[in-house]
Amino acid sequence: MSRHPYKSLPEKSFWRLAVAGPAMADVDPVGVFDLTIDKHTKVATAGSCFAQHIARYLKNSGYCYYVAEPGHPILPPGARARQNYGLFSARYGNIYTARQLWQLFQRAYGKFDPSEDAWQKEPEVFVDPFRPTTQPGGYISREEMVVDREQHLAAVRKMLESLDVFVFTLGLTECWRSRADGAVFPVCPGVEGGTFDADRYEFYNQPVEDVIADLTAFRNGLAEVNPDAQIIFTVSPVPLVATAEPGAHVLSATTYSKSVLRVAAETMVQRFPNVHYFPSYEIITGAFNRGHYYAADLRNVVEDGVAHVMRLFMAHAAGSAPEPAAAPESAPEEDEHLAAAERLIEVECDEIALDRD
Amino acid sequence: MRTATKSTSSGRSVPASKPKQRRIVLFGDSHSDAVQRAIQKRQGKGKPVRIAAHRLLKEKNGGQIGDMSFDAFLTTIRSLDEYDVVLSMIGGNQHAVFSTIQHPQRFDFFDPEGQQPAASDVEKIPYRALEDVFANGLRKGDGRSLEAIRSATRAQVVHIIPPPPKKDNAFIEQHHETLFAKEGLASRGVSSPELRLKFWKLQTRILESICSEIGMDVMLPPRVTMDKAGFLKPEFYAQDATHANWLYGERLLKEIESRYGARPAEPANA
Repeated sequence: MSRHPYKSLPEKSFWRLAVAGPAMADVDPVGVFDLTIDKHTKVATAGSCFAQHIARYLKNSGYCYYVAEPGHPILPPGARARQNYGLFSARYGNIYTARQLWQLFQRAYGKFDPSEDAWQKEPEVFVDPFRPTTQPGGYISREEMVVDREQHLAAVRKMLESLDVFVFTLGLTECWRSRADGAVFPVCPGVEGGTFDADRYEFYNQPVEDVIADLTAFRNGLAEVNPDAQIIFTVSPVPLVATAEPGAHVLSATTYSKSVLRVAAETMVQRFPNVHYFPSYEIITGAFNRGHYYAADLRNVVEDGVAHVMRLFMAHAAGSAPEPAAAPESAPEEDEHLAAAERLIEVECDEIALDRD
Repeated sequence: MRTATKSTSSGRSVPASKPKQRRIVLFGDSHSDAVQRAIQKRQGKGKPVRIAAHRLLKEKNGGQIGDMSFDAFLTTIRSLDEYDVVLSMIGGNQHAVFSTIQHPQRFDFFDPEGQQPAASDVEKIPYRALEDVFANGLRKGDGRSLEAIRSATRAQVVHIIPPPPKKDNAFIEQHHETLFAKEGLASRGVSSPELRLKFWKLQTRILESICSEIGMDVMLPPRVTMDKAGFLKPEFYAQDATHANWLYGERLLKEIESRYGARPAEPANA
């Protein structure tokens, strides 16, 4: 009887047994995932839009989704959500590229001060070039934008220094950057603000070595300010909405981008013991689901797909299934002060009729 | 006694009808109290007042506040015609809820008129986040009442902006002492006057916008009742944190009469 290494491998090593054979919902492409979270583990999130699902499920399952920039409590919960507080752990909006993540870290610690000024859309509408969709309606002045950015970067520092686990969903390699100092933007100037000027901005499609360098710099920076921090990388399964790579087809450009990100994530896992990879990309894009996890636009991920990802994430990281439940340490939804102030003013309104001149 | 006549297109002279008296009806919440008191004062002196003022009827702790339900008011104004005037003093204290007592997590905000946050060491809330809160609250609350009023009558409808805030923190503290203590807020103190004024202006901008959308005019507080910065002058303070007194109501009456009361209405047979 022949002996070879494949003889002793587990079922998950074999396509027929692990991918083609099982029912769609039972496919589990997680290889090694040796990080455990419990209900007290502070899990922070950032990345492309797919990262929002992780936050939502963690919160609903009673885990500690860590928000360092929750918005002032005088804003009711609905307003805070509309203003993008709590969408991610700080109000940075989507962080699509590794370069954007590393520059956020540098900006938070005063190591990089981009020369790009506020983008003015109208006389009283100013946009932060580095999070252009975060403040609905924009800021009323440049000064307000600068002050809010300072508060935001302070919240980013707080988050980085006190989180236990940082989940980052890598989204893109393509971005636009300033020719002046290399600052990268989440959205091409001119789309959500600013004016496109080819003399000022250039297209930059990150090669794998740049992504690895940026992720390494971020990982090392985080280790300096928070030595116990763990990092989970995932790759967003959401394809590019458009490519700016000259001559490229958007499908090939997507394959390139996701491949680079996947290689970079794997490289990071191999190099650093505190870096982990979770295969949400594989769960959504894998042929086993025959495209069922994409919406009709072949781009957005349907809820069944998200549920599959999060079921496996919770099973591997927390040893439990995601269940809707109230977060154990969540802040009260309504502001106690505002409620008391409202009662007080109401009493006053009732009593004005009793007032004597 | 001669009878007034007017000529018809055929050249015949016919008796002219007596100009119809313009009807002016005011309805509101607690801020209408100042106008009701001013009317009572005038009537006490035997002076006729052509403005009927009502306060929203509310059941509270077994008692009643006000004199007319909202539905009854809508019924009243349905019979008015386009030459009449409906004045609204609905709501108006949302700004005070946010800005009277100092929040334990202090905050401030920039406003579009360029007034900067007074304190540099407190959290700054983006203006448009607060605008969102007020716009949502006002559109779902007072905005719906204003729409109901607007659609109930052919009369001109005018919303009167509530009185501006008081500048005097000591006055507010003194007149709120019991309520502060009851709510456990005594140690928090009163917010800065500048913050109160900014919230009032924010609310005013949103009310102006809502009124414009639904075809209502807006009347600002009489200029004479405000100081240079825009605060309510002390002589118009009611004995609490947020309301104005009967003298303020009297100034409002004068403003209303000057705008709507002196002009003759159209003749009844026009």
